[in-house]
Amino acid sequence: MKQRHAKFNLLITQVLIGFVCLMLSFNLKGIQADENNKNIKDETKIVIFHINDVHSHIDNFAKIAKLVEEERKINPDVFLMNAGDNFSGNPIVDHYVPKGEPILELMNKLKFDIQVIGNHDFDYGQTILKSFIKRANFPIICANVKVSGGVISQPEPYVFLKTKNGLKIAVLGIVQIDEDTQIPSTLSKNVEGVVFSNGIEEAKKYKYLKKESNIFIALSHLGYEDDELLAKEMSELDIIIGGHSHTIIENQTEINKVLITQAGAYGEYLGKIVITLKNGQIIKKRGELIDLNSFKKENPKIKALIAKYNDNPELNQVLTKLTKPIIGNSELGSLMTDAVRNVFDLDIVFHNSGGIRIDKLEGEVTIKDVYTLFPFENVVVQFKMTPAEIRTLIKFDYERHKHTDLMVSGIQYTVKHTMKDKVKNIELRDEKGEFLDENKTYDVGLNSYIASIYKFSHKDPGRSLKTGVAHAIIQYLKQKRDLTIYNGIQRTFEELIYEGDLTKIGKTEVEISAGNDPFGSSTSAGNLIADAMRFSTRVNIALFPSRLQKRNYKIKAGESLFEEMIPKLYSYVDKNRIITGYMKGSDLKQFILKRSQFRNNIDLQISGMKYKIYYDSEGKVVSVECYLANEEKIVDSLTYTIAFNDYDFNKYYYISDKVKEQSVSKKDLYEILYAHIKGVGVISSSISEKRVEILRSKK
Amino acid sequence: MKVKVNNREIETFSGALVGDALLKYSKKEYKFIRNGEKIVVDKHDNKRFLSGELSAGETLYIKNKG
Repeated sequence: MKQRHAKFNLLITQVLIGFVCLMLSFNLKGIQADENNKNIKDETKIVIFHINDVHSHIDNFAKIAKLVEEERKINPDVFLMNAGDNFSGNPIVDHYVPKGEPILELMNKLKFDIQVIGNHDFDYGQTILKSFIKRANFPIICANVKVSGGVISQPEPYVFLKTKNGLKIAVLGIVQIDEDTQIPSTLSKNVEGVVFSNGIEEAKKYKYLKKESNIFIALSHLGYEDDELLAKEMSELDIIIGGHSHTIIENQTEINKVLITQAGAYGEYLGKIVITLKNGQIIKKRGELIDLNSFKKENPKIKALIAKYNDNPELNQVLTKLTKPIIGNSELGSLMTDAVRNVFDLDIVFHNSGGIRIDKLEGEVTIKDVYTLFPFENVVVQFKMTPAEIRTLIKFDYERHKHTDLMVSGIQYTVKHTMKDKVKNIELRDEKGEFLDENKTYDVGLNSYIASIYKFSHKDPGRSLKTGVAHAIIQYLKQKRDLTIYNGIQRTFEELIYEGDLTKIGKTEVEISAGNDPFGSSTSAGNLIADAMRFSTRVNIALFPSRLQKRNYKIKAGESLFEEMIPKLYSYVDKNRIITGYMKGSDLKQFILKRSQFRNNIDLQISGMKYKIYYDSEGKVVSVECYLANEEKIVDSLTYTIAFNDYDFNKYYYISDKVKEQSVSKKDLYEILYAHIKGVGVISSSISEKRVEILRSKK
Repeated sequence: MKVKVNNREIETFSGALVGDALLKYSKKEYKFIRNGEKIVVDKHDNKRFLSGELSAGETLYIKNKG
């Protein structure tokens, strides 16, 4: 009986406990619902400002500050969000010490509320990102990341933001990953110890946040295409604030009732979302973009801070000091390709001459100099290529430029071509001079311009390494290597194959070439052209611009000269006639000085005259001395007959009125060179003479 | 990866940007866009920056400005 009672009592107790638990559970849910629906009678207006993909462009932060502070004056519920990718894109900020500081301080000053990690936020490495997260006065979230052995701490997947009257905004963060690598688009070494999962799949695990909030937002760095998919799969979301694809969503759209927005990039636009809630429910949501380039008001304190950051002394940081200058495409191109090969651990790297924007590096080389050498944002793209595929790249390049334009590291190559520039064969040799293994596949690096523009065979579609060429050069120069190896270096060669009907017009006893630096000396090709101009027009002095010579083309001593070789000696074949006239010695000297200062090197090849260029201790041209071929000095008061090519003469506006009695030749330069070589028969050693000298200033 | 520019299929490298695909499509059109004479938009007519990241299968269109 006692046992029965005991059992009955136990049953009653269990039922009571169960009932209490059930009631408690209802009460908890009720409390939570009440919490979400607080102030149900009021309409609440929430304003969310957002930016994305700033990529170190800070100039518009003063305008953002102004807009946000004006809104905060009239509205208690203003939020400021960032959809990721603060770093990489502006050398002034990217090279600030400590890295990331300008963005961090600006975001803190503007009182950002939240940010999602973007793929490029890993670009400076995890140590920098960790410091950024630690010092940020706002949470930095990401749901599809698991930190196992990485440097950064595990970020929160989401946070709740609250309005002044207690309404809850759930903000979930997600970042893009590449399908093939399963990591975000950054260098793999930047995300070591961090595991990523699919952003959309991960986001779906947080659907429950809908019930726990009044507004559910995905702060997404997936890109617009994936934001669309996310909206289709997750109607629980109210808003997706996007980034990554740099999309300017001016006409706000809703997919599956989810508002998707994105504010372009570089802080050129500020997104503004206005949400109205009643009874804790959204009754209206509307987004717009504010074009910050059209907005003129700025917060003066933030503007001053930006000015401070823009005056970054780090850009003048000396990376290395050259004992000898690195001059011309061959030397500079070899340095640049070696840098990329070294930093990205590749077998072979190519770089186009058009991507070399200065003639030389000398003395102290700063970060700013590197960005002058290569001012483009092109990144490195990696391909796995066979030698046969590499040949198709070199062939395309040669036939496009009519000379070897691609600088290279890891190999040297010789293009064997006909007089009409048809490529017959390309020899590829490694650094020891051995032929490449035809059965092997090599890791080849190209800049993204070559990867996109050049037509070549490659089974491997290639992959972006997401890091710029300039970055690699800076890293390489910091290694303090012996850079004298680049003086006189040559890795690309051309060899002429004689075939078909050619018109022989003469022979040469000496090599004819502009070398690989047409500005570094008077060249045999330049002397020949200037001689032909002078003899044809019977003037005292002829001048031909160094820049119109073709680099790397060489006619060996003892070879026959064919008419078909003429266009290989200089550019603008059809555009050159000869202008002759009279010029005073003083004007001529002034002209040569100005051109030498413009180029800070040898800008003019010459005949009938010699000149010496003097540099000061800072490497700037300060004076010239001019002599006739017989060593007599050019006299200021005397008048000399002069010949120029018309294509450049017409651009030398400052001497157009100094040359009197101008006339233009009937023959063009092609015809003049043809007649000269045919008339002379054998080109002698006189074209090898040094007609221009470079000297230190006597002072 | 493959994307479409003005309905023409372009095969470009993984991780390519909008500008890379446009360069492959036409250097001339790329320059028009870079100089601000034309714009590039996605399938929803949203304007894209040349620096924007691309996804496989995306469609881009080149349009006159205005």
